[in-house]
Amino acid sequence: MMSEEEAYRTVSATLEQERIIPFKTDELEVVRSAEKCVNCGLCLNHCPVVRAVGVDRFSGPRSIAVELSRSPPDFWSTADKVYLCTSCGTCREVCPFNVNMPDIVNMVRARIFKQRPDLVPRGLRAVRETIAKYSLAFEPWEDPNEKTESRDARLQAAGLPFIKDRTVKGAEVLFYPGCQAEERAQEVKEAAKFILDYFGVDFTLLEEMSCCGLPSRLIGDDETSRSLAARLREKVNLLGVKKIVTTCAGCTSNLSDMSVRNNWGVSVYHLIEFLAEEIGLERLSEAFTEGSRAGEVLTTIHDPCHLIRHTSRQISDHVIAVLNLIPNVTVVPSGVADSCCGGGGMVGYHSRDVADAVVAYNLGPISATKANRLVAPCPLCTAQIERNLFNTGSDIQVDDLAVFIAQRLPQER
Amino acid sequence: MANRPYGEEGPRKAVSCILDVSSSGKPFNLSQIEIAQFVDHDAGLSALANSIEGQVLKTGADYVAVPPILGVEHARENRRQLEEMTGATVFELTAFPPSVPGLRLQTSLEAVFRKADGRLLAGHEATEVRQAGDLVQVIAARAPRRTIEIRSTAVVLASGKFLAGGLVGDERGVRESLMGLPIVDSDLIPTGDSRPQRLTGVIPLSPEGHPLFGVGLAFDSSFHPVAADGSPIAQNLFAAGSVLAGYNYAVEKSGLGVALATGFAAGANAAAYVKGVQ
Repeated sequence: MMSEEEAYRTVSATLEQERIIPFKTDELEVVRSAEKCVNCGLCLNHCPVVRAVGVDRFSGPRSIAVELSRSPPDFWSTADKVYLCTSCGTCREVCPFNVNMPDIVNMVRARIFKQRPDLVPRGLRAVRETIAKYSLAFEPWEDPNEKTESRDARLQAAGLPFIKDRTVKGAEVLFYPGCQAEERAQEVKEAAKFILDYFGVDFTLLEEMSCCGLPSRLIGDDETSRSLAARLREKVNLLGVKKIVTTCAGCTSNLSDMSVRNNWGVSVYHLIEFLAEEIGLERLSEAFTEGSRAGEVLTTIHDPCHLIRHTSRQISDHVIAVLNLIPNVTVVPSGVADSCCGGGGMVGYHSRDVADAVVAYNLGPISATKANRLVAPCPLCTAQIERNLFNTGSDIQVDDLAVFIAQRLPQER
Repeated sequence: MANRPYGEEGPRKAVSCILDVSSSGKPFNLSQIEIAQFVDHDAGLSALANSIEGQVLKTGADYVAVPPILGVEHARENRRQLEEMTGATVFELTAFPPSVPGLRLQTSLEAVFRKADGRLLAGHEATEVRQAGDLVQVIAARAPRRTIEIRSTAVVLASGKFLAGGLVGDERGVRESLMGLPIVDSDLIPTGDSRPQRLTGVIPLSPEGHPLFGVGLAFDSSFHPVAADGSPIAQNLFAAGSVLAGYNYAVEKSGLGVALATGFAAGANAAAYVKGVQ
């Protein structure tokens, strides 16, 4: 008789032959959620990609839940649709049965990645190579001096002081900027360091920055995603921090998920949550009153999907509460603050036209507010909206929320 | 209408036609919502108007019935403009879900709620209610990656019946899913541990429906859910909508009517309670 181990090996081999990849324990809940879909189509009415390009190009969340997710060996046949999901999570939010569409999409992509890597869009394969080579979602600067120069130029443009980088074992907080603020939007990383330093937070940076694993997860490279998360966990444990604070919306939701899924034993905050919940509105208000050197600003807000739909809508309330404390800042609603910017789901890396069609819905109402500023608590949304507003000839300045807040704190204490 | 007998207003004739409106430019794979969103833009509205105008001229129609595609954000204004452009009275019919009129209603209600400084936490599911004495004190609500605690002076429970998850039924009987409140049938008789199957009739389709779909919370004239002895579960807890006992949609078909009437009453009572406490 076969031993249990032998039986397992035999069955595993058959599964491989049949092109079936067994679900991992943490995926089972997602699979069960897909089974709850009643085909009502509410998601179809709300999906920003369907709104932007129509069901003929992107068949929408319902079709992914009821048709595309039913036959694992044939997932590859969905490749022309499933990569167009921006992963905004609107469908999950409006679904009466909480069908976990964003994770179903990730699961389908993960199986295409394994079985038919040739069908993974070329743009995503390029990102994958970057991640494999550098453990970062963006290619790092070749010359570290140039990186420093770029940082200093950005700091000067933003009018912010430089706070020295530090790595401290046993610090309370790890500030994790995310790949974009580390390599591209360096002013966001610097602004957050300045804010944390201003409020006397005992924080550290990583000795060496590495990706949280979200881009790999969205590409379908589940293995790399898990190994990056595991590597980061190791670094977090070595530093012995109790809290992770980040300025990236995607990192916030992904790290929140990972830390619970794999028992990291730390709490994860977006910077704005940390400010509202841990620093407190009273201290913030005092600091803003002292530091109000910036002129009158009429600002509107963009709420990143990874914060409001993947984490909690409460974060959107925190943003408004903090902005309302700043003298000379008036917040005007655009009515489209929670509408996806198209920058998520890695769609822009292979179907830029779809990503831009999604954000097009936001541009008119943003301009109609007559605001001279838009703030977003995410460097990715900031870049996507900034580029598209600029292309329409708008002169609205787009700022990451961390930069906007840092500029309104006193520079001397 | 084509088959109806002569009425007091004389004969009417109905004809059908195909309208040529497509947001993608293709005549296939279109959804209601796409056309409605398209009609919210000038290009969509004029395409619809041209298509309708041609048919009106051809048939001499006074009225034009269209599927619910007159827009999501500007439906009323779009209808007015269409009538002006075509010279006919335009009205919408209902269609298969997902419902465009339903989406409009939802969007408007949410906008009114926000305008009145309401705080809407979409995507949060109430998971726990903490009660001290005869008052509900804390509601825990779970979002995808956070669980938050909400403290409010009064609470209205509007969690729906079986489809929405307000009630669950299994071999242990029917339960209210959030607080385990007592459940009664339409005759106010506690369902106890009766399995859902015991609460169905032998005739599948009858005008009386099945008792199972009329079960829910017992409540008093203030819309407080009540215990078996008729006393309120909590002074600051109210209930509305299909979670209430006695409401059987399959029989009476007044889904939104019951939701609106009981929601209004429970909300007004909750507001009066809050004012009383302050």
